Amino acid sequence: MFALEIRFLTGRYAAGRADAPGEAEWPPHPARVFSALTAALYEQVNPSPEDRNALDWLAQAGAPEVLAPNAAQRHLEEVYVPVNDVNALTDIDRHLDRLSTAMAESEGLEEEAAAKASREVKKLREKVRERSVATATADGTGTPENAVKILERRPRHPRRFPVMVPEHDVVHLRWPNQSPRPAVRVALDRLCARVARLGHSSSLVSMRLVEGEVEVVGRRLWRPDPDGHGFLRVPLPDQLRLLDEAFDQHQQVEPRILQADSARYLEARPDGTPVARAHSGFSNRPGEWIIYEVAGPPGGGRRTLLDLTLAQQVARALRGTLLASLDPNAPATLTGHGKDGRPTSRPHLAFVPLGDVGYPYASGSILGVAMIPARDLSVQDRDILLEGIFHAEQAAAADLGMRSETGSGRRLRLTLGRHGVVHLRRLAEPADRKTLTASRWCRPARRWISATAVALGRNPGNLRSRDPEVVGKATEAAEATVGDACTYSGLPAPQVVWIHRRSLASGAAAANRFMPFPDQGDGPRRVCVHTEIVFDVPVIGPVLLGAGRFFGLGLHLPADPPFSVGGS
Amino acid sequence: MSAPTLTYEILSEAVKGAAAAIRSRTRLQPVGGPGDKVFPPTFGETIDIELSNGTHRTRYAMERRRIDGKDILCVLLDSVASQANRMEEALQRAWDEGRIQFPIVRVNFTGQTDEDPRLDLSTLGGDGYLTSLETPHRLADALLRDSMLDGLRFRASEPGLAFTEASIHHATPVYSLSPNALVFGMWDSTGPKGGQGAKFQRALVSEVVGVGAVPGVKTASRIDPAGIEINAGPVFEAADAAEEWTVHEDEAATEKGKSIPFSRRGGEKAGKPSSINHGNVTPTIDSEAGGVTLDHAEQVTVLSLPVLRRLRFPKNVAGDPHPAEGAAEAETGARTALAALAVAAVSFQREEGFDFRSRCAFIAEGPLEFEVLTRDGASEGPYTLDSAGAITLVRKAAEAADELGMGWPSDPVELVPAPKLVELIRRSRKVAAVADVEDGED
Repeated sequence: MFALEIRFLTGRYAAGRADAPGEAEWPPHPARVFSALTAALYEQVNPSPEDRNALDWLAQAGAPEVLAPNAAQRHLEEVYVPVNDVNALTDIDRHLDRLSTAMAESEGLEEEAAAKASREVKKLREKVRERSVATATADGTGTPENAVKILERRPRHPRRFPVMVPEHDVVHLRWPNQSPRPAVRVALDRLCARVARLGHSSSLVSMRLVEGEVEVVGRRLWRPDPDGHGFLRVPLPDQLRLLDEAFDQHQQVEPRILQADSARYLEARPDGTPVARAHSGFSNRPGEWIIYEVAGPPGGGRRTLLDLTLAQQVARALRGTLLASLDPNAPATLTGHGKDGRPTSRPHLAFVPLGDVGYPYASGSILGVAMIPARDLSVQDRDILLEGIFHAEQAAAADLGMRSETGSGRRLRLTLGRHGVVHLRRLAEPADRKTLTASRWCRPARRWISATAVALGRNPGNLRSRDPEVVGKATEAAEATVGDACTYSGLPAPQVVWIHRRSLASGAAAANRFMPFPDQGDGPRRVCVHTEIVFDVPVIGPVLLGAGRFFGLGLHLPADPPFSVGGS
Repeated sequence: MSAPTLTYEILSEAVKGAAAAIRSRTRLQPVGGPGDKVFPPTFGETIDIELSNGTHRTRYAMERRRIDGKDILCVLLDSVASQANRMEEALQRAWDEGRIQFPIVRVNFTGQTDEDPRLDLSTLGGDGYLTSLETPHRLADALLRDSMLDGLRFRASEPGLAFTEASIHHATPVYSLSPNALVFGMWDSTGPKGGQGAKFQRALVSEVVGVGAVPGVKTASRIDPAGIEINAGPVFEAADAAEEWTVHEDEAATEKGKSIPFSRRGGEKAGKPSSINHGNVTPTIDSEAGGVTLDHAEQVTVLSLPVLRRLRFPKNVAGDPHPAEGAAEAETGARTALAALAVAAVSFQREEGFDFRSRCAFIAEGPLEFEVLTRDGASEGPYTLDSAGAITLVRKAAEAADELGMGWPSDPVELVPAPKLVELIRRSRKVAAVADVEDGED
């Protein structure tokens, strides 16, 4: 067993994810560490064969385990870099280049050749002098603005890069089943000693090779595993050769993402057993979600963007449209009603508006709606669902006067009474927009925050009383109800629940704006609250809780710090 | 008993050996005393951060850190780039005062006088010199490219040509022209070699973070001492350029027969007293950038030794290869001189204080102390260094390097701005002066 130990000397790690450059990478990917070792190799003017062999050996050692603490993202890191590509004078680089080349070529020559080269150099020097004077003379030409840019008002370009601040300074990459032979060990450690940074030049590190046991100690452990949900970039077996070839191309000048392999990782406990992940009762498979985006009307025109507070109305309208196209004997997994017409308690198809929340400029608008079935939906029931959708879309196409050669046209039209009409178009392939992807709502996380308010199954009491004791009791009751809602949904009991009036997801409306729920029918009106829930194991979404969970209420957003192992 | 001083021997051992870095960590408190409110740097965007009492919008660079098992809110007080600028400024002042010596390239504007004060450039940079410590891109800066040495463009001169050929494998030209570039980093990406130009990673990284931040609010308002009401006025541009503004319409400048309302920046407030900085300002309450109180602040400064070790100096400052047995020693001597310059920069910056911006000033809780960090996480030290010690350190390191052929020239390389550059600046200032009179804009 051996490991590479990385210490973050400045307490920060600044590197962007290869697949999402604006987002922070954490933990450091093994491929990046390999690149740093390769750079260390080439610091030597003549890299030694032992060092090269050692890196080849490392690349073939396969994907390592990663031991890393949690890290929090620094919220803003923006540097304004003054430009340097302004010139008030015409440049003479061409002539300088010729002179340099001639000077280099004139070294080590003999007699006649030396004399000739020397004359050439002299001629070029004269040219350079002449050009220097000519370009520097004040002759009335030139752009004053350029001189101003150099001397008085240097323009600056913003450069943003993500920075992570880890809880502890030490990360290990661990290979439990390999041990380098002495020559390789010495060479690898020698290379480690030369690595000064990982990522941006401000994330200074020190590295070394350690042998024997490395304890997990207050960190998390990820192991390569074909069943894993997360991805880390790791070196390919011939990574060194690939980096060499790539260098010929980029010469460390061009911006670049270097080739690497992508390995699946699974979080594990210190003893190596996989960390249990809990599933919600709903499907998390992108292929099983049926996602519609809000679109403009077929002939053209603007989309109707409704606020997420209208989630239940939109959900109910979509459900109504679907049910109208389903056989009256459609299964309870789709309708939510048993044969006797009474609501079923088993998980069934949920209609979930997906809102623009959780981003810095989020609008809180409904961007699409997803039909999310239960996890164990049978193949037959799925067929019935798809048929129902097909019929609904055909009917809509007819209503809209659309002629479509490609079947149903994939459109639906929802009428929402006084809120107007919403046009939906089913996505045939994964959306670019993250809000409309399953992975945004299902990414494994321990901490979840509500995007739409949770409708509590039991009235907790008066959360807005002036009497703090009443409020305290009501809050506790609400927290307990939310905890029960979790277990009722098939999730583990939460470690802690907080009740909030406002959502922690930016752009999402306050809880009271989701009320009344339900906004129709004779049933009791539910108290709606926002929540923040922490589980002690990672939970795979979607997390839909509370009395309104089949109608878009109680939808939660995973809110762990970005950990690039957690999947996209 | 106080800590021992960081000596040349200790520094040289660290550079020569296997240590990973030299680091200083300093606790700071606001000058107004612990718990006093300070105002960190703001950034363009607001972000939301979760506090125990809800979400808070802020324009500060805030983050959560885990300290002693608890989540603590922290805020950036001075960034890596800003700290580097301060340290170079501190080095420049020490150099100006003759306290330390190291190579500098500077552009001499003192001869560019003119009777017209707008066209007089002789006081640029304060003292008429702009140096390779002060220019944004150090030795590779555009200003130096457009300046002259002995009648040649800088990059065409002998030092300039040597600089173009420099690299981490051959760092002597930069070492003998402007060694701060090897400490703080430089990329000559717009020189004759374009993107392939000399590229040197920074060796010194420093940052100041406030720990245990609690956001506050800031109020801003102004009660006009002269009691000028918002509807007093209107204020016009004066026809006489020297007057700037007037309330007498018969003295106003006109355009198409109408008097022009005065405004410095154009826009809605033209003609109102506020355009000439009078009048009351309605109170505002700013909670996005309303300052913070802190438990304490911390400056962490790290000098990376591998970055220095990767610099190769196959030739001495005279341009000759080292004698065979002395090459390694000469290179260590050069690297130690750079390390000395780096820790001196930290020491001088400390001496100047931690006055980052308005209402954001700190004092250190103790003396400057450095630790030598080894790769296994252990540390040697602490070693202390005051500015007197820093001066001694740099001097000794320079002397030792000199004996090995890696001495530092005692005089700066002095350039003059290209006549064309001077003429263009003057032309732009003339144009701006005329435009001022015409548009009433500063």
